[in-house]
Amino acid sequence: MPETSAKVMVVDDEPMNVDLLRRTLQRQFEIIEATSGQVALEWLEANAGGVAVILCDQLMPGICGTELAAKVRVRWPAIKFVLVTGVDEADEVIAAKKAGIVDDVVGKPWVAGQLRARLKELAGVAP
Amino acid sequence: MLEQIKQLLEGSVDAAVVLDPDRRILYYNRAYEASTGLRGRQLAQVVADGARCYEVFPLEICKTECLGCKAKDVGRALRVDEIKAVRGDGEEMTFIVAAVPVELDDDTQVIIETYRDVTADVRIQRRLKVLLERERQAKQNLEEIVRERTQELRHAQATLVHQEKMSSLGRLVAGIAHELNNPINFVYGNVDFLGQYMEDLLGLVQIVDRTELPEPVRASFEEAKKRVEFEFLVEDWRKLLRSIRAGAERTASIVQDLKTFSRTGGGELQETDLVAGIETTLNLIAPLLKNRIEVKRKIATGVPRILCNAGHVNQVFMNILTNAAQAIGGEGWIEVKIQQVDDNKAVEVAITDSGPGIRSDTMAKITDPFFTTKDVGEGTGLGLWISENIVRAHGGTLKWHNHTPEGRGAVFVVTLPIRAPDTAGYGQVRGGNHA
Repeated sequence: MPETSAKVMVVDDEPMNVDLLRRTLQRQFEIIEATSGQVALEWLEANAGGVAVILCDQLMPGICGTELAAKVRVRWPAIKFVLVTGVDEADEVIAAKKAGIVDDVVGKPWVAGQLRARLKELAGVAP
Repeated sequence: MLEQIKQLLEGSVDAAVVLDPDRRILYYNRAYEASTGLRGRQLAQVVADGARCYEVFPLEICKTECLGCKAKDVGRALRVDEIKAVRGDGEEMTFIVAAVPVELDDDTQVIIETYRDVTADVRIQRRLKVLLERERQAKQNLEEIVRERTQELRHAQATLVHQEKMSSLGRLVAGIAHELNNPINFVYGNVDFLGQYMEDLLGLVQIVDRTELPEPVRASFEEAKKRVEFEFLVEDWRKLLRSIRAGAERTASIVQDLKTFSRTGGGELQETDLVAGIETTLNLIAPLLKNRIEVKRKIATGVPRILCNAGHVNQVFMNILTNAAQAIGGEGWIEVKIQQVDDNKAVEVAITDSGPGIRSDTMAKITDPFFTTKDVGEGTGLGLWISENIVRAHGGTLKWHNHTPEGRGAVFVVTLPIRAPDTAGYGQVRGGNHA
């Protein structure tokens, strides 16, 4: 059982990244996996939001990270959104951060401890 | 006979005088009268008073030699073209002067001088000459302009080609960096879990090892431990994990450098740490320096960040440092000196190498586009040209000289203002040399 009841959704089209994130976070959070933006939206729709934080890759086929963030912010404004990206200086990422659509941007490769701490902070659970 | 001569000359359009051997005027025609600028009676009086020709109407040559006298001496007609004279009213005129000595019936000798007014002809000729010269000049200018424009076009094309190349390279590098990020992330992120799992498994093995086992089980357990070289494995797995992590970290830092290099900021100016930028560039060219070239850093404290197009400015240092590394044949050193100058309004980066220096005959040409001293295929001859343009667009300067009086060791000094002008973003690129 995870330490907290907070749910974190991991969205990435790369299964090995999803595995890694699960491995990194499963002791602290309940993990919901989604392999695309579309899958993520469907799950959220069916579960009335229902996650505290979404951890999402930026570059994915179909709906990209910032697009998903914009939709989520409108539909479920309480959900915190963290973008995981290899191109943290890309224009759309900077714009999304400035516009307040995403709460944080994490560059790859990330450091496990820091990521856990940041997610706990965003999910509002004691570190 | 004199009378006949007078009749002959009277109607002539050329001015004419008949002189006695002493050069007193015996006769003058109407055209002569007009040329002197004296009124009829005045002239008549002067002539009646025994005036000599050079007193009445002096020609330019009268001062040095008298054509009439000469004609008399040689006993034949003489002629001189383009003789200047100032008319009575002050206007400068040009004449063709002819002098003919004539023996009269009474054995006295006279000199007939005629003056043909060619002032207008000379003026027209002169004007024509000027016009022809002007036309020749215009043609030459046109050729010059065509040459210049062709050169400018060539430069512009070269710039475009280079910019396109750099932008393709930037996209390629950014793409590679992104593609490498994911796999590095797996390796880097998973390696700690692998470590944890190994600890857990070894813990289990140790528990079993400490437990009292029935003899056949213990024997086969010990046998298995020997087979897998358990003691060595316990010692080695941490080393293994460390090298995997180090490899991943190193790859991640290369990817980070590539990302920095490819980031041109879309023409935007950004606060940039030059010292860090140069450090990154040195990392990127590490394969060129490896074990061969020592890098000496002389970095002043408190060098401020400067507002510039980071991608372009990094490119400048990349070019200079690459040139320096390539110039050093065997072992050597590169010195990078960074300090504030110009009342702390600018930052100066001086890069000195221990190479052969810049040859004096190429000193002025090294920033010309397409000029290269490298072998075919090694250099495009555009690097320093682009660099100079980037620096110039930032309102800075790029200067170079040799380190020693014997002309060894090139020194490149880049000076950039703390705040570049807004136009620096897109780096206006102009012709080569020090235009």
